[in-house]
Amino acid sequence: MKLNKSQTEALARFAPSLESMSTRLRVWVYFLLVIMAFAGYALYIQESQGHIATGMRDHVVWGLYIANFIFFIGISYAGAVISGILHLLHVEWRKPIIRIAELITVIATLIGPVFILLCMGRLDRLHHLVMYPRLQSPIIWDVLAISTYLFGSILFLYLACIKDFAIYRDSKDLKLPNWQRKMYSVLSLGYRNLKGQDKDVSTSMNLMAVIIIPLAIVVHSVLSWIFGMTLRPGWHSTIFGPYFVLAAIYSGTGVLIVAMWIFRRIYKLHDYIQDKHFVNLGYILLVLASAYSYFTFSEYLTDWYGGEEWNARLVEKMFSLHEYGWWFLFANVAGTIIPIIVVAIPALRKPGFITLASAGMVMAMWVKRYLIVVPTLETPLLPIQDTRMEVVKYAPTWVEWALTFGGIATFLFLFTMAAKYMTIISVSEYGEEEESR
Amino acid sequence: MTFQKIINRHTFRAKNLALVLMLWAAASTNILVAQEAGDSTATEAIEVTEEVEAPETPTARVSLVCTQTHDDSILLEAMVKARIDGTLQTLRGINVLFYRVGADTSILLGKAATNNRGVATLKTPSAAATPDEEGLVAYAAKSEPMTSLEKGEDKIGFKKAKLTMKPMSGDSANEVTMLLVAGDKDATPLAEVDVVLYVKRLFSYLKVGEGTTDERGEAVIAFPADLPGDAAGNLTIVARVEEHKEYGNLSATMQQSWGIPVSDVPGKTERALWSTAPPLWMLITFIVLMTTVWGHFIVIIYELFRLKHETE
Repeated sequence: MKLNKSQTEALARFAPSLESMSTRLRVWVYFLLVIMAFAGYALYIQESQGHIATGMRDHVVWGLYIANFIFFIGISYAGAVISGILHLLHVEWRKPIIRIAELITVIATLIGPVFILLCMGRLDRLHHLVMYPRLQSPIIWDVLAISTYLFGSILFLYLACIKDFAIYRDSKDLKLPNWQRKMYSVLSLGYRNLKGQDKDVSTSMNLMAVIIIPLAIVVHSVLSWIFGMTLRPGWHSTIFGPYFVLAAIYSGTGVLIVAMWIFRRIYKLHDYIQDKHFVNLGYILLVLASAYSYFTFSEYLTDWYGGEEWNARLVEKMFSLHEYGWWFLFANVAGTIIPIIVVAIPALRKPGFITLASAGMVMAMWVKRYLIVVPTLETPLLPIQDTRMEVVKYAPTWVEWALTFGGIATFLFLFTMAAKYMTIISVSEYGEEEESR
Repeated sequence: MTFQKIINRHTFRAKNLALVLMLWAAASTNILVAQEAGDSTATEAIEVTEEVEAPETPTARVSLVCTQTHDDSILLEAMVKARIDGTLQTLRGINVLFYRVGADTSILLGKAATNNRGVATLKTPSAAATPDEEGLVAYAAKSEPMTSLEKGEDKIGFKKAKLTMKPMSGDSANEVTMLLVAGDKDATPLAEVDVVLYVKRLFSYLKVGEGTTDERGEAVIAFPADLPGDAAGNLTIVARVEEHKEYGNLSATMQQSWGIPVSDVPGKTERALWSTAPPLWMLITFIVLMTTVWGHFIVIIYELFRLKHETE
C-alpha cells in the first residue's frame, strides 16, 4: 500500500514499538505478569477452599467481583458509543482517539465477564446456562447480550484495523520479524486499498457503527435489569436502565481520557493527541456528569422521600458516616462535582486537570458500583438471623482484592500488548483527509 | 494370717480412722469459728460449692393419645417434650416404652422411638386388652431414662368401643353411614355421640361433615361431590370420634372413588414469566433482536471474506 506523507510520519513515530520491546516496557510487562501470577495463586486458593475464602456469605452473595464486572462492562462503552457516534457523525478530531477507545471496549468486555465466573460457586454447572436457559431470566439476557456485544466489539475493532494491518504488511521501512509480517498479512485479508475493498470496509464500518450503539445500550440496560427486576431496596427502580447506561458512557469517557493522557506522554504524541481532544472530551464529560448527577439526585431523593422502610434503611446507611457515608460522599464529589468544576472553569480546562478529574471520577464510579451492590445485599427484606459479623457485614478478603488487581493488571497487560503490535493511532485513517484534498 | 499381721492391720485402720476424725473435727471447728466470726472466706467457699452444682436435668413430658381403630386395633401415640433453654421443645429419637396397665401388673407391649414431630407410635390388638371391673382398659407410655433427660410417663384409660362406616352411593349424592357400638359382648349401640368426617389431603385432614349418633348408634353424613381425588378419583375418608369422655378417640377409614379425577401429570405448560415456556412477546422480541444483530454480523463477515477477491 502506498502511504501519503502523514501516514509515513505516523508510522515512523510508532516503528520502534512495533519493531522491538524497550527495557522499560519489558519491566512493566514483567511487573504486570507478577500481579497476574499472584492473582492466579488467589484463584487457586478460592477454587481449592471454595467461596469461604472470600468475604461473600449467605446474604451478601455479590461483592467485589460483581462491582468489578459492572465497572469493566461500563468502561467498555468508551469505544462502543464514543467511537460509534463520532464515526457516524464524521467528527474529524475522533481519528487519534478511536483506536484507544475501541481497544478499551474489547479488552474491558473480555475481562468483565471473568468476574462473573469468579463469583459463581459452582463453575462445574456453567454449561447449564446453555443447556437449560430460561429466556425469562435477566441473567440469560445478560449472557446473550454480552457475548453478542463482545463479538460485535471485536469485529468493530478488527474492521478499523484492517487497513493498518495492510500498511504494516507492506511497509518496507518497518523492520519486522517474518512471523509478525505474516501475521499482518493474514489479518489484512488481502487488502490492497482497491476501490471495491475500500467500499466494502467502509460499508461494514458504517453498519457496525449503527448496530454497536443500540447494542451497547441494550447490554448495559440488561445488566441493570439484573438488579432492577428484583424487589430489593435500592435496586428496584425504573430509572436503573438509563442510569446504568449513562454511568457506563461516563466512566468509559473518563478511562478514555486517562488512557489518552498516558499514551500521549509515553509515545510523545502531542502532535496527534492535542489539547483540543482533551477539551472536547471534557465537554462530553461535563454533559454526562450533569446528567449523571441529575439521575443520582432523582434516585436517592425518591427513595428518601418515599420513606418506605427498607429503602429508608438503605438511604440511612448511605448517609451515615459510620456506615457508607464517606464512600458515598467520595462517589458523588469525585464522581460528579469535581469533573463539572474542572471542565466548567476555563482556567482549569487543561489536559492535566481534566485527566486528574477523570482519574478521580473513574475511581469514584468504581466505588459507586460497590455501593450499588453491597449495601443493598446487607439490607435484606427479611431480617438476618445469623448474627455473626462476617454474615451481617461484607468485607472483601485478600483473595478478592488479589483477583481484582489481577483483573486490572490483565487489562493493562492486554492494552500494552495491543499497543505493541498495532499503532495506537489509526495510521490509515489519519491520511484520509490529506488524500481527499 | 498370723496374729501379728492382724494386729498390724487393725492398728493401721485405727490410725486412718483417727486421722479422718481429726480432719473432720478440724474442718467443723473451722467452719463454726468462721461462721461465728462472720468470716467471709468461709461463706465464699460455701457459695462456690453451691455454684458448681450440676445444672438440673430436664424432665420428659409424655402425652399419650389412644385411638381405637375400625380394624380392632388400638393406636398408641406418645408425644415427648421437655423444657430446654426455657422453651418447651418436642424431642426426636427418644425411646418410649408402651405398657398395658392391669390391676396389679403392667405388660410391656413394645418400644418405639419418637419421630421428627416428637411422636412415638405403636399399634396393638384391641382384643388382648381385658377391661377391669369398671369396664376400662388402660395404657401407659414411659420415656426411657437417659443421662441428659429425666424419664416421664403418661397413663390413659377408656372403655372399649368400635366405630365403623359404610358408603351409601346415591343417584344425586353420596352418603356415609357410621355405626358406633360399645365393646361389650352385645355390641350395644352408643347414642348421642358426635362423629366428624374427614378427607385426607396432602398435608392434613379436611373436615367435610359432622353428625350425632342416634339410638341405633348410627350417624349419616352427606358427602360432598366436588372434592378432587387422585387420577382415579379415589379419596381416603376418615370418620372420628374425638376425645369422648368415656370412649376416648375412635376412628374408621375407607377408600372411595367419590372424588373428581385429577391427573398428577402436568398438562400443557402455560406461557408465562414463571413457567418453563416464555411469553410469546418475549420470544418474538428476542428472536427479532438477535436476528437483526447477528444478521448484521453475518453480512459484515461475508463482506470481509469477499475482500480478497475484489478487483480494481
